[in-house]
Amino acid sequence: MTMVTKNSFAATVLTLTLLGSTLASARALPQQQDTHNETTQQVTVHVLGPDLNQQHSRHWTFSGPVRLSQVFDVAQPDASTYWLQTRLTDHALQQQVLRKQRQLQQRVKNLAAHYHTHYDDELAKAAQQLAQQIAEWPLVATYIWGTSRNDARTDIMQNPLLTVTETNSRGQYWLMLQSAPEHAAIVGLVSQPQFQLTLDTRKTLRDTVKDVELLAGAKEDTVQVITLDGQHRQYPVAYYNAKADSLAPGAVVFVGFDDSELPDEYQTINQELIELLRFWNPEMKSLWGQQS
Amino acid sequence: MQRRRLATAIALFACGFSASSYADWWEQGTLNGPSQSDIGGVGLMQMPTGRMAREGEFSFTYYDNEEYRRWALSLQLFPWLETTIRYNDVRTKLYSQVPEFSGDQTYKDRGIDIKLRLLEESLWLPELSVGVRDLAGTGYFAGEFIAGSKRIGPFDLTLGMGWGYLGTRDNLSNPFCEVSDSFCDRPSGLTGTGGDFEVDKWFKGDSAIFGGVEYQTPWQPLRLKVEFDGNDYSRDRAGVPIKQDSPWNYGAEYAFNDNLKLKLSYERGNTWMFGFTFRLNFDDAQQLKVDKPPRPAQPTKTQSVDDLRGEQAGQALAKNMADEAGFNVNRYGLSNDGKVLTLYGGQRKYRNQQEALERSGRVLASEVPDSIETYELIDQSYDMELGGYRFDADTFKTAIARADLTTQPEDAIERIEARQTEAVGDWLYNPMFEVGMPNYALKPFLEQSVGGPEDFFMYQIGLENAVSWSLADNFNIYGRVGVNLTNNFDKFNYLVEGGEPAIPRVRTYVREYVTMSDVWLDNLQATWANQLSPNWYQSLYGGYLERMFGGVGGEILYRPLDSNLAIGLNVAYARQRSFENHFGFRDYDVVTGHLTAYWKTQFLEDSLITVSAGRFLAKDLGVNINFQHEFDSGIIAGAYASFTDVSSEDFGEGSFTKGFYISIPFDMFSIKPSVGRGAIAWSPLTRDGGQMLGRVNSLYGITSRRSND
Repeated sequence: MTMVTKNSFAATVLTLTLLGSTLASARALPQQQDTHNETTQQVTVHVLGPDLNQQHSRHWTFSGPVRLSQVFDVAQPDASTYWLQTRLTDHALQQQVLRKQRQLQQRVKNLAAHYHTHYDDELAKAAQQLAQQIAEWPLVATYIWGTSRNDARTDIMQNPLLTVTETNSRGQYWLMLQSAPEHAAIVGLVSQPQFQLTLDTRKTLRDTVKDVELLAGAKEDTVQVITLDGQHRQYPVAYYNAKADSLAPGAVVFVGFDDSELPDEYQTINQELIELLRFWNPEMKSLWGQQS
Repeated sequence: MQRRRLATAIALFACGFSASSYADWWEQGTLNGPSQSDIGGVGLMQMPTGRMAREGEFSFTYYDNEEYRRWALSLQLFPWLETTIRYNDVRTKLYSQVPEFSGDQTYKDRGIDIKLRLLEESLWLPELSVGVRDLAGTGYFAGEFIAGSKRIGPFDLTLGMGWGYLGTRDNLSNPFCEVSDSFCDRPSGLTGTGGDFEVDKWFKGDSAIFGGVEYQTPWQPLRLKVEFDGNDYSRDRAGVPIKQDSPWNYGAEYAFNDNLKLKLSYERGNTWMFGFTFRLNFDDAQQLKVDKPPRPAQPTKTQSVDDLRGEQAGQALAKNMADEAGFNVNRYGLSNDGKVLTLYGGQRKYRNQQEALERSGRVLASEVPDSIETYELIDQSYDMELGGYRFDADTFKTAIARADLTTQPEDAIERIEARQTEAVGDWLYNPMFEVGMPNYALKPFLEQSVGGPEDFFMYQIGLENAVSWSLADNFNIYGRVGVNLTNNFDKFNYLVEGGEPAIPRVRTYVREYVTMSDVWLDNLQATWANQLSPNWYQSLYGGYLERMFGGVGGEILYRPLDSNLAIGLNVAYARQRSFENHFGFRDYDVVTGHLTAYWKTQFLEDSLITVSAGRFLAKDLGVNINFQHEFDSGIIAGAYASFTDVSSEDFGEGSFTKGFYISIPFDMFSIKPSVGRGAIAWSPLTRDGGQMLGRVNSLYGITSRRSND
């Protein structure tokens, strides 16, 4: 296993010390890599957050593969880091997720066309609205969901090795550390999706869903909730089955299609959209876009 | 002033204490699932609802009133199917008028209920179910119903229609009577000697509307119920008249904790009743385990395959595999190109096969040289190769070392047909079979019979001493000696009316067997098994096969790898064992055998249906059907029935052989992982028709690893 090489690490730390942990320093790094001419196995980890308002970014270059725990060790995450929000990505994965996002958008457009040809204009309009909404979903790909520094230290299965790979030949990774979220989101077959939903502790999940107007074809009695740890679960929200569930910050409520409204070839569409929503990350979307 | 305080208290009780807790209360409704009725099964008090419990929900309900005591076991087998077994103790009636037969025991009536969901609740429609009560019993409480339930906040409203015992109020004419006259009157009496399904009576005769409300109070542990009873008790058979002053029943249920619910009700306008329900869920039930942690990823200890060669190296690897992965290694060898290491043996520790595989791979990854690219684990039983798993070593090592971001251990493992031992080029460890010491196990047992006329509960408690001794790779001797500690089977006094039995007595000498001696040879069976081809297996067996029969037999089984279907043929010559001495035989003998299909259904998950057609012990011809379902916890619930050419009159009370069982994994009660099981069986009555020969080591059991579950 390769540790941070003394020279490059020392140089990086020195560079960071001198230049400060600014975006400018991150952009200056490739020159440094050229100097060392060790690009074949070098791994660079850009650490974003958690103070997003200042667009706080730092990066470390390692001479070879590096464990996530080592990155945590050198990055010394801020005490305000909310571990459930930890994410790690690279360009290849991000491109893959964005490609999936476009594919699913097209698939939902095709579904709209299917409804249209079957003279179901209400459903066609709803699917068309959803397709437009999908394009706007703030998605940031990730390999991990919510790994803490302690998790990485104590459990090797949560402490992956970051390496140069076929799809990531430059060995560039982005580790995103964020503070606790304050908002949730409600998306899917709703007329007014809310990406920054302010939570009201007096409201149940059913209340939250009742507050939005559902589009034609929406499954009215249950919704899917995707939580920060990347898990998702179905929750009942109708008058006859709701169970006073509450909504946690960072969660995404997805109102899907009622299965009975879906043609056979689209029966898996809800599941595919839920899988995509696991990458929901509005805070990092804009910031990571700038970094990468 | 006092009145105002009371009104305020009632208002708070009804509405909650703040806006948010009000919302919680209103929304939570019957959050913890619907409750059990007085008589077992989801319902109000006397009447059922359209509700189903959560899948795997198992409950025992006891309810008591002046005329009846009831014990009911209810199991939610599938989300859409509820099954209930119940005993009613009719306290106002004797079991029989013959004291020599049943003493002063009060009348016990057993019954089985099933309830099927027709509709799930939706925006406009209720949850709708149809059910039959007291199925295959004496018909004392037989009735049918259709019930729908709709929840509005904390109120769960039920409206239903009942027939038979549930419809004696006769407040609504039977709609089926409009369709066909045959539904206007309900036939009386029993088919045969009772125990039949009595389908010809279903939904016939008087009918009544019933209904009620289950209300979740703001105080979470307390629920209240009100119901309108469809039964007016005018045709009850309690032995004394039952007077009903009001059709309205009122009840309360207090959840003492998550498992125990106490019940109290005031019913018929004149009678207090009480009881309790104890519940658990077969899907959730589990036990914490104390076990060695899986071996962490580490560099391999060996540099060359020669480090794995020989007795000492083999035994060391075998020990680690057994200790850390539960895989008992019999032998292992290399392929001709030296890249595939194949280990033969069997996993005997973990019920979770994926866990066992990952543990095995971890041991091999750190004990096998890196030059080996593939590991194969082949499950053996009786020296037969049943199936295997292939590991891509590099991928597996990458996964367990988390050497990249995406590879998982399961990505490295592939299910394969067994590699036959002939394919191994270089045996590194291949010890000759040696006859070792027998394996010995001692465990307690409880044999029981519930609901008999002589005594409600007949039992035998004893110790079972089992010995298993392998004399060759594919030849085993298994013996079991029972030791009686205590029993009351001497009360069993089954007599054949008229002296001569209509069919041979193959099972009803149970009293004679049980009371013969305090120590007995339960069985002593030799089994030889052989693999004819990857999918075909055969065995021969002989000896004292079970407590009541000995003999010799042979079996052949066709079982493709991981197939949903297997077919076997088993034929045996059996002779009845003596109950006057330990080793002798009686005159009665029989050639018995069955063609059996084993079907793991796709439409009913985790379920196995076994259908055996052939000749039974009493020389009757027919079919035995066995259904079993495995829950997430590993608990198996099963039921069986035999239908043969013995008439219900010749069969005697019960009409046909049937029974239920629950098989419980030992590791539910142990902190150590184990694949062993114990069973609790319940058979309403033991009679001679439709009885199969018992034995150990059936081929389907021996080849269980042909299935990947």
